[in-house]
Amino acid sequence: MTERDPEIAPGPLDGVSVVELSETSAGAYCGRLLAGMGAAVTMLEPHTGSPIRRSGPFRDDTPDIEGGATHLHLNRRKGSLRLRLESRAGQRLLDQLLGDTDVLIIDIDRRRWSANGIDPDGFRSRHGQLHVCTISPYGTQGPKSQWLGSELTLYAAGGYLRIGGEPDREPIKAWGEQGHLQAGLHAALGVLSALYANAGGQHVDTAIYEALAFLLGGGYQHAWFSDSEPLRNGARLVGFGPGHLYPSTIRPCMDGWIHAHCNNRYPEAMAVLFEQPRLAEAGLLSTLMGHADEVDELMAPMLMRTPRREVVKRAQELRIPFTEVLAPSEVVADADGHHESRGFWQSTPHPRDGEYQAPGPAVRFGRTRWIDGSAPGLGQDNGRLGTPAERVRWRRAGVA
Amino acid sequence: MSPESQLIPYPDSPRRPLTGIRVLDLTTAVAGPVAALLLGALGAEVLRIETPWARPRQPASALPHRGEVPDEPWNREARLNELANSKRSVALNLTHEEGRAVFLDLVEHADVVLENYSPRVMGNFGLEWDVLSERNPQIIYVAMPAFGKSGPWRDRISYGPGIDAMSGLSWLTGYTDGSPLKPGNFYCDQNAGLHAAVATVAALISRCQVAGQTVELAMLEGELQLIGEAMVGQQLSGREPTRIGNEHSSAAPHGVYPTQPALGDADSWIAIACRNDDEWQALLTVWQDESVRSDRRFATGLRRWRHRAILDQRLRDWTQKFNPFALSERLQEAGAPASPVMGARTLLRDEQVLARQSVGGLQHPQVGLSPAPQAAFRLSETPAPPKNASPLFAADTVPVLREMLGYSEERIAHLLESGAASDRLRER
Repeated sequence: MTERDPEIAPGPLDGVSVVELSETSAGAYCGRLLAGMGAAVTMLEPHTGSPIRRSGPFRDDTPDIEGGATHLHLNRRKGSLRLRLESRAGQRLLDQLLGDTDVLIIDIDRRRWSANGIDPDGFRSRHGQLHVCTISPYGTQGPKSQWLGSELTLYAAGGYLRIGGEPDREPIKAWGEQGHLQAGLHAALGVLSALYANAGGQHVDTAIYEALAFLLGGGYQHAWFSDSEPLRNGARLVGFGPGHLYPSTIRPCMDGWIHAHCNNRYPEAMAVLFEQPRLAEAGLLSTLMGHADEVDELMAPMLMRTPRREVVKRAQELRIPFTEVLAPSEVVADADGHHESRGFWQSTPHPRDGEYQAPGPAVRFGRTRWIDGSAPGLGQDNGRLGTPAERVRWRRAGVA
Repeated sequence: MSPESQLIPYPDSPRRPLTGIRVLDLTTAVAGPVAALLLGALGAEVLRIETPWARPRQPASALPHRGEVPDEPWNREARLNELANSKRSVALNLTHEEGRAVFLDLVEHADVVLENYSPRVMGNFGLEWDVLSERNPQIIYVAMPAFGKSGPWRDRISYGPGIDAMSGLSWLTGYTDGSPLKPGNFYCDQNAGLHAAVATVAALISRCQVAGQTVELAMLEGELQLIGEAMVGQQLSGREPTRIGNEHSSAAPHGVYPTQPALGDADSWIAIACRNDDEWQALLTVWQDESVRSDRRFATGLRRWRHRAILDQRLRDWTQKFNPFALSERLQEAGAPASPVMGARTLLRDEQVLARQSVGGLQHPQVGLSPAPQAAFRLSETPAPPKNASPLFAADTVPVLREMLGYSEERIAHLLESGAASDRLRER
């Protein structure tokens, strides 16, 4: 079989229909992945719009329900239905929609499930093939299932907060909503697995704190066998047990920072790069982490007189995996044309005027394709609900 | 909170969703192995293809030996015990012509080939997509290069932490008054592994329509999905986003505060996040301090945010009198999001972790019961927890050659003799 024309190939999830009830970036990212891979994803939003729409920045710092950065990124290629789920009529309408739906994503505060008619078991019993993916801070089972969670507190609950930051300061989390986005990824994997299993409708019960607990990986070995916690390590890798590797760290240079990565390998090349024969001496780089401060001192003179692009160029020529620490604007500016050559940034119409560059495919398929589009206007698809007469009735009743 | 760490062995699950799928796992480092272990737990039979000299004989981070079994330190390496669970181990030398021939025979019996080499390596082996698909048109070939299989950075080398730097995430992560930091230990790797697992299952779903295909997951492009709002936001506002540590862009208090040592650990903290007036009022029902309640600087959300430095200091003075676990429970009962800053050690004692089996046990023959986290979802009809501990090196080479490929005993003996395959760890 030859490769298909990527312009006309369908996405791998072509034909899959998804209804998304998201208040956080967890459900929104799950939906984005499914939409990018070809599923028809429709957001079900309250009359005021999803809270994701209110997350800035906005153009000219003017709040705009159609123009928030998170909405313009995470909700691309989705539809939008504006529906009042607090009403019985709205709940009946949702149930009607679910008759033609493969996947329902529920990512709204559990305290409002009942008032909004959210009942995963009920949905599944009425729609036997429907997969219901719930995303909640602690999952739907267990003693903490009713606990509240925010990005920060769930970072703490999942253990991933503890390893971030300097050893003599409070732990800090990574920028943004990484915990929620990781949960969205896990949820997408669960949904796809349920679709592939073809074992009838399933409940995919996703816990956000668990997505963070999963990231700790080897930390559990350390804790189980030594009953101790690793201490965060600033810009250096956290060591679990005696196997600390060095350097894998961020260091300042003449015009910014570089990520220095060597991890006890390439000692001769490191000595050449930094013009420091000491770096090639036995016992320095081969002694795990023991000489980290000295290695930093040996790297500093060259780094402080050399621009970061030049440092990385020389390191890569020696096959040492150093990289630049880039600011967001530099990533978009793409000085080397790498992203441009791969067609990564997608020129996307801004809902008011002009265009913006949005991230393109998370993954590239050979015979199917990743499909991007624009973020939907609030309620833009209400016109496809029911008959014209029903639409008039719903509008008068304030349902849709 | 249990006083001791607990590890409940994972139950077997006979109805995993990817049952019947076979994955040839050529991956190294972290990202690829994470993808493969997820697919393994989901039910795929994952053959971890290792070079016959792949593991160090005396790894620096060997786990304790259980005692009553042969002492093979290369089977007790901590990283492998973490990353090779739910897989089998087959030792093949792909630089050997006969090793490559065995691999291509395996391709005929497989559904997925997964690799995370630099883009040129599979070509150097003569194992490009065209070759694989000619042997098996249904094969899904998943590649996980750092920067992608095309573009000016194609042949650059990097591991996950270096990609964190190139994506902008390291630049964004850090204290408000500090330099860029890593967003986690191997954050980009874990993220790429999950994206690759997602893409692999999507490709399996579409296989009935398009047969096999290539799947390319550039680690950098996977991570750029996670900071898209920063990229879009800086274009809209014209401002570079800044490092804000644990702070919220508009709400306070929102931070991490010291507490009394818990479980003998001086590094004890509580995270508290009040995102609106309701959560602030909930905090005040526990933090019964009239001087805080009546302080006009804290009367509205905007004022609290403007005066967050003073508010944080007041909160620190209060939290450090308490145990983080007890205080979190009281705040949660009142309706304020809070959590002790957990770690692997405390998670192994946590009632929610035990109830959901977020981390369970796998029985390793030379190490004993070992912990492994499971993915963050539970499938109601086809449960898929991790299924076996890291395999002993090359334990499955001969069974796979004999039973899966139907090779004769003579041929197997020849392959072991020639070094194309191995049933034990060899010297290079």
